[in-house]
Amino acid sequence: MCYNDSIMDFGSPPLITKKGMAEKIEQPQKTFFFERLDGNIFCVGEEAAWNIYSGKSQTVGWRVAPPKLIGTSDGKIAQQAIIEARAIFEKEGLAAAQEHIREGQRLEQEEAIKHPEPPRNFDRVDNYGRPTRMEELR
Amino acid sequence: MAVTTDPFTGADLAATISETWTSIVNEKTFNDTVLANFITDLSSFATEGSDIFHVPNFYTNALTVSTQSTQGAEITTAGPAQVDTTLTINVHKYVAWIIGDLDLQQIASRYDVNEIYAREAVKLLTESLEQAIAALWSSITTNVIGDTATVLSDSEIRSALSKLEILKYHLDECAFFAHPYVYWNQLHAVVKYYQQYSYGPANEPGAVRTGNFGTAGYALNFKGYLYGVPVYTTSNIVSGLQTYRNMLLHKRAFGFATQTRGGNTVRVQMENSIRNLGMLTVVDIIYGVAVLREEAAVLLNASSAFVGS
Repeated sequence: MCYNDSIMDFGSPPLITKKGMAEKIEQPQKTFFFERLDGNIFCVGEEAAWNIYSGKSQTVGWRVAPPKLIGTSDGKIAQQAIIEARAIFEKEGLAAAQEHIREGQRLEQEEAIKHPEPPRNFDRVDNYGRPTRMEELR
Repeated sequence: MAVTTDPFTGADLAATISETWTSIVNEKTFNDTVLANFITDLSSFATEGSDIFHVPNFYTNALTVSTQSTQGAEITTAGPAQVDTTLTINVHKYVAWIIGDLDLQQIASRYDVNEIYAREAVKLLTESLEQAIAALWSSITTNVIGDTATVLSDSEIRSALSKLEILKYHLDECAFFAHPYVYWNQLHAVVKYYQQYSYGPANEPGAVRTGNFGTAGYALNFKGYLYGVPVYTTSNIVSGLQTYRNMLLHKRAFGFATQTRGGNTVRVQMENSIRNLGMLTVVDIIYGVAVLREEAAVLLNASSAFVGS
């Protein structure tokens, strides 16, 4: 076995990866939930949702029905769960924090299903990448 | 001896202090194109028209092996149904602007404003193609690894590779595509990836020195290899509900085709528009993206709420 001793780092941390909470939490974004034909549910941001909703994002196969829009939410419940998970992480550890985040994502989905709302049309956007409607420009 | 009592101030000299517009401009930053450079490009089939491109699927229903248990008996033949997989070119995007002749004449000659904006527009449209490809993650259902509340781990990387190999895909035709957050904050926390004794040849600099899984540079967002499979980063990897949707792709997993008039991926057109008394520039792209072999992709979920350390 040949090791280059000059590069080896004998003072390295133990071979266990510590996991910590990120310092910065992403801003909540409007989230759209879709259900596939097989019943699986997934969520995406608004522009991706528009591509799926408008049929531009193509899945495998010939004339396969696109995923169905089943819910829309503002993403705040999941974000709040992550904020709360920081304290849980400190007191109860990683597993409890992760479970709290998963629960937040479940609640976000439950809330979203109460009020499905189509995404805005991203085929036409303004200088800031925001969707626009022709009638609003006149 | 008298001292000076009334030195000039900047305000006194304002009429003669000049300002200089440098030849340096700070342009918008973009990801390098990595997804479109890797997946199956059907553009060559689109040059002579058509909107739908068929890639017949012979693998979902494949031939089967029979045993001739009774010598001389009539054989059983197989007739597996083929599956028609298609890619439709259905997206036409553009960026357009016009600068009036008066303004165009008065802009400092050292700035080729139209060229700078044209360069930006080309990259914007190329990124829109990359984003459309990255958005195909939502079609991946067969191979899904990773939790929306955990970091991406080494075991998940190995699990992804094993899934594709079990499905008999050649790993030398695959590549990882990770969000930079995941690459730097999670993958680089995997100790074995930067410890000299585990990452590879003793005479090669490691990940801490190169920032890279291997000795390669950062060109085209290529970040070296994990278990022999190339790793690319792009911030076009989709994020939703604080989860990054990284992918391990075989090159046949996704496909795209461009059909922009003129034959290039992106077309830039400029004209002196008499009607508007200005210079009109329009940059456009026509494309379609589709999943061609869904099970040839692995979705690697990674929470953005955690960092490895």
